[in-house]
Amino acid sequence: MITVKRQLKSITAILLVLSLMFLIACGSNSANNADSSSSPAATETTKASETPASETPTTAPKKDPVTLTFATYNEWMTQGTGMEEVFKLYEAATGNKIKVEIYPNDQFINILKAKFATGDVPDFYAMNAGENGMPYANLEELTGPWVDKMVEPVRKKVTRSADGKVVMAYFSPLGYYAAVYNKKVFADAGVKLPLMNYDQLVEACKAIQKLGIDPIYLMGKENWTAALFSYIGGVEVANLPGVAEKLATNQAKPSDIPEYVEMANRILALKPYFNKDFMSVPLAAGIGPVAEGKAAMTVMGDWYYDEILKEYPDKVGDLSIMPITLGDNFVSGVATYDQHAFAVPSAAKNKEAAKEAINFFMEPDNFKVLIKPYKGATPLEGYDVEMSPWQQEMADMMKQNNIPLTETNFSIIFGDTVDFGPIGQVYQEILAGKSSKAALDDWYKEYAKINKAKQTPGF
Amino acid sequence: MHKAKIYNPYSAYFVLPALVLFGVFFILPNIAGMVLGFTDWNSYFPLSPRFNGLTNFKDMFDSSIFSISVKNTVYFTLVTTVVKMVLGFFLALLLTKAIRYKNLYRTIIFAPVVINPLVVALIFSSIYNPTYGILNAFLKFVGLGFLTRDWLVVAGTAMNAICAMEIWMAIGITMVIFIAGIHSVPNEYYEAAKIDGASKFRQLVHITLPLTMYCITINTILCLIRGTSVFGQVYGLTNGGPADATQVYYTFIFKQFSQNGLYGYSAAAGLLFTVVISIVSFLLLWVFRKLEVEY
Repeated sequence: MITVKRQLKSITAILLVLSLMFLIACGSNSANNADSSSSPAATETTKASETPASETPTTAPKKDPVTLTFATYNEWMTQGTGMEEVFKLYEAATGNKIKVEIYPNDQFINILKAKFATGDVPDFYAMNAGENGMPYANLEELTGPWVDKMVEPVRKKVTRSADGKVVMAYFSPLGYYAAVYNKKVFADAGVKLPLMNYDQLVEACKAIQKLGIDPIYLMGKENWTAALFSYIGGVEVANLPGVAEKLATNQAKPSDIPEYVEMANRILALKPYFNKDFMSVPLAAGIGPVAEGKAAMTVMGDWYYDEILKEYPDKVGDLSIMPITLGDNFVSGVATYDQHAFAVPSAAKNKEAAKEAINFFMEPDNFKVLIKPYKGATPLEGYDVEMSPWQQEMADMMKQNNIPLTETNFSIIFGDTVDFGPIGQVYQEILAGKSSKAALDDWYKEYAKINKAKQTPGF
Repeated sequence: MHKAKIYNPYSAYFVLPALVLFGVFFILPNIAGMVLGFTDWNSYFPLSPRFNGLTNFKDMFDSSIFSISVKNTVYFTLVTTVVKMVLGFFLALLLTKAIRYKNLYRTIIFAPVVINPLVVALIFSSIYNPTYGILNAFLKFVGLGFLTRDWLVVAGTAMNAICAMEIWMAIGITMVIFIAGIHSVPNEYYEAAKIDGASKFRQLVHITLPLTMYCITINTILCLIRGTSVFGQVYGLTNGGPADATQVYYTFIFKQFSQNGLYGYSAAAGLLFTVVISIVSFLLLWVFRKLEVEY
């Protein structure tokens, strides 16, 4: 009797386990059917739109709504960008849902790499354009009416070098890295603009300092703000014959190049013109002093226009942006081609739906919503994108003074294949007292280690 | 006559599930970490780590950030250990006397121990704010404005500020252990010493200290482990800045892992840490055991 009871218990337990496994299998199978049904449905929808209305079947198969997973930086979704609004438009138009996953800014890239390695990828993601962030190897080709409308530098940035296919959808107005300056302070100091070389920059700082105003306001708590000086001021060094090639192929270290060390020393030489508390000032605190005329300028991107418009709407007209340089004979306006872009991993479960979603976002009317609140030159021909007054003034200044438009010092030197590692802390270390050569050597060791792991040619 | 040895496997059955879980979630990952420390495992090729011998260790000793992080960790450990031990011991002495509200004082001193280090770091970053922080405001209020400074900006001041935060946060643990140790000393020794005319100081040196040596051992080991594995306090307060000046060992490992994607390199740093701390802990235990007495 006891034996029979034990046997019955064992059989019941086994049956329970088997039925659980069966239910799990059924559940995953129905999920797969839902995913696979979206692709043929999408194809059917496209086909239906191409056939004349009279031939359109009256009973088209109903498309099951799909939930797309989207991943991006924490900062990009919490800054009030247009992505949230355009996602709502997409959901209303298609019935699909977008599940947003945001990650800490300094960890997103590595988390995404881990997801790629394990196959647990989002359906699409947004990141800075360029192969330096995420390799382009495992991304889907993107096609759509917008592809042929991209301006050439943007198209080059989002094209996979291995096969020439476009793999990212750039959705940021083209902006500038520049000096955000207070026009009244410069006028009161009697400084003539633009500043065409480093000596003129130093003279301007001296003249402003005599007024009792900080010439340059540096938000040095963030380690990348000091690096902006080299981004925009170091283009002359980057263009010197052989410099870019030697550094990008690891034939030389930055400290081996005298002009590179001199550039770092010139940033250090500007230290007496910084605000005294520059090492402890966070990024958000930079808006006030320049807007209020307590500081003459700060080095930032033109996206500061929107921040200042929000906080100091009556002062935004007192400010503008201009190119600056650390060089002796060259100044350029520096444009950014490495801003926001969408991509679809090849291993994404709903890649076709994700590509359709991107095409929806890139339609002219939706694009205007997507890029909010940023302003700049249009990355797509024929798209109506608003330039801010600052950007217009800088464009006019460059035209009047024959100042060319270039990429940043790092883009010119390292391109998209070499990871230039923790560049931000180099200049922070120099400003904190480390010698330029030692700081550049430490930076080299870090980026050499990263590129060795990345198997970058030459490292 | 031989009695048959009865084999009772039930104790093994009861231990087995916990052992399996421990093995899978602790032992195996640690062994894997030790092995991966000798590879170039990274986020660019996460599924194909290659053995690279001692390269990771060589790169570590070559890195200036590594040496800064070791120096800062040693400094942090020494300073916090010494201060916590001395202050904790005297607080324990004070709070084992018959004073009013001693339980309340014990609770207040111990309370910060249960707060998450990151939360404490956020609170202290406000306190240390050079413009709006209450520390500088208080110093100016009491006429010590010349002592105000940017606490988290200058390297030396920043490390001391982090040490002060840690001492405030963790002194409760040392105090509580010392209180337990002081309570365990039999009163007869103090009575006998009193009769023999020993002063309070001599009672402290010849009775309290030797008989609470095991507490000193425990507290030293705990302070050492806590000091060397500091992370949340530094990450929350300065994130290793300015310019890596307050980088400690664990923030160094975290940076290499999460920002640079160098998993093998981080594993090597972790392995080195484990070996060094184990050796130091065993040495300290051996030394302190020799100093313990029983009357």
